Amino acid sequence: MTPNDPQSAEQQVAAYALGTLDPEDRAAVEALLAASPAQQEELRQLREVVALLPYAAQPTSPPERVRQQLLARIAATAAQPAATPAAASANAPTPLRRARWLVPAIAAALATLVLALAGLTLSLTDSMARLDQTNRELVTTLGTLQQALADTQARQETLAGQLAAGQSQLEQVSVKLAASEERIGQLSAQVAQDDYVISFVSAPGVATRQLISAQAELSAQGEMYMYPGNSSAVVLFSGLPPLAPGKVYQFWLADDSNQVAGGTFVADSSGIGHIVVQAPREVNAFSQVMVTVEPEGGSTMPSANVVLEGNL
Amino acid sequence: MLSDELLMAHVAAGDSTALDQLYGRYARIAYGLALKILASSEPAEDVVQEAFWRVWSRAATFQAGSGQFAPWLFGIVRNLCIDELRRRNARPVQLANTADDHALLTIPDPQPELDTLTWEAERRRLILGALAELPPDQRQVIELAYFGGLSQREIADKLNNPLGTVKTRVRLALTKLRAMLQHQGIGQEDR
Repeated sequence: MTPNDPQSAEQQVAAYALGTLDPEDRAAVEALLAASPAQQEELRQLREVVALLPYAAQPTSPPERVRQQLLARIAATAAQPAATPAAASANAPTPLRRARWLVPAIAAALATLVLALAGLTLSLTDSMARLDQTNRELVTTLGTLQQALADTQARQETLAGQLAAGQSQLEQVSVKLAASEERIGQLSAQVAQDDYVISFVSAPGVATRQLISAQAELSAQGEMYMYPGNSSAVVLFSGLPPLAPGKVYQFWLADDSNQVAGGTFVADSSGIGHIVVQAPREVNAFSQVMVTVEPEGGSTMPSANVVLEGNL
Repeated sequence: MLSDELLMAHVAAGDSTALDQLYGRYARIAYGLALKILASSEPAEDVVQEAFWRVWSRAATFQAGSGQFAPWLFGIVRNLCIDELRRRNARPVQLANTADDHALLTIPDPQPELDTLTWEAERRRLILGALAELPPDQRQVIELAYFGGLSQREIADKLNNPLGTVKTRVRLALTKLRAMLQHQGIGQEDR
């Protein structure tokens, strides 16, 4: 075909549409098409025919991995900053022009990896959101528990205070009870002693001896009840003067050579008192008795402050 | 159903789901075409992936017009296949012949919907029928040119025919196909 042969070029429009034109014929055909709307229409129609030829091939579904790799490749590009289809065209890998089919496979694998990482990131973000929500709930629960613990501690402190007060009261009551018991014991002993004294002084065969005041200004007197041959004796007193603090009355038995302490006692506010004497031997073996004022606890030797005295 | 052109507008806006829909419509045809040209599944798979990748990455350059997407896509697929043929410096082991194509028609592909399968089969029957109506020498040059990726001069060399004869056969074959397909009322937009 000569370059300036329009008629020849018209014969080649079909080959142009079919894509089978030899390179040396291309310029003439394109020049014709540029100049002729009729040939442009001819080309459009023939191209429609060519566009049907692919349907002559047996339609076959490609393996699913083709679609997956394509979408992964797109997703990997979309994951890049400012990636758009138009931008992707500039830097997208062109597997067919690289070493065989290895590069697209690697690119697809990397794209799949990027997809997986993107999915993992989404999953982690979702997990973090759920953990954050759980954490908030736990913090709220913890706050509630702390408040409950504070309330419980406050209540515990109140109860502990009440318990301490109760214990204090109990101790006080216990002390009072012990004092009362002691007092009861004392009174019981007193009653028992009084009973003994009463039975002693009222028994048949009892002998009495009088004790008289050793000091002229005193009106004190005493009466001693005793049994011959018995080491016990009971002495009743009246008119005894009040004693200074830390002082007691002490009863003595004496013979010719020494004095034997017969016990200490005190008088009540009316000056009445008594003592049960347990002598080291029979009472009638002694010749004299007397009462002195001694320090509390008694003395081993009688003082000079004799209040009462008598002869047996 | 959204038109191809509207889906392409979405693709140009970065909507990969639109591309996925186009893939669903045309992957079977594209893969069948690549298989026919390359006669090998692995490179055909790569061609399909690369073709749709180019649809994605070059969507902005697509000239929207009724019925223009499929020719554009098939042109990409065919060009990739021809590049591969030339790169490997080899030719398909066997160009498809009419008998094989009719035999393949009887093998159902279970994956697509039944109506899609039925329409695909019918359209293919019509196109194969039109090709079968061509004189064998004209059908041969069409197949060598389109599915074999040969230029007219390469066809002439291969067949030991004068170049002018091949050119005439190409022109006559394509114009006859146009007439027959127009008569049958089938166009590529009859998807």
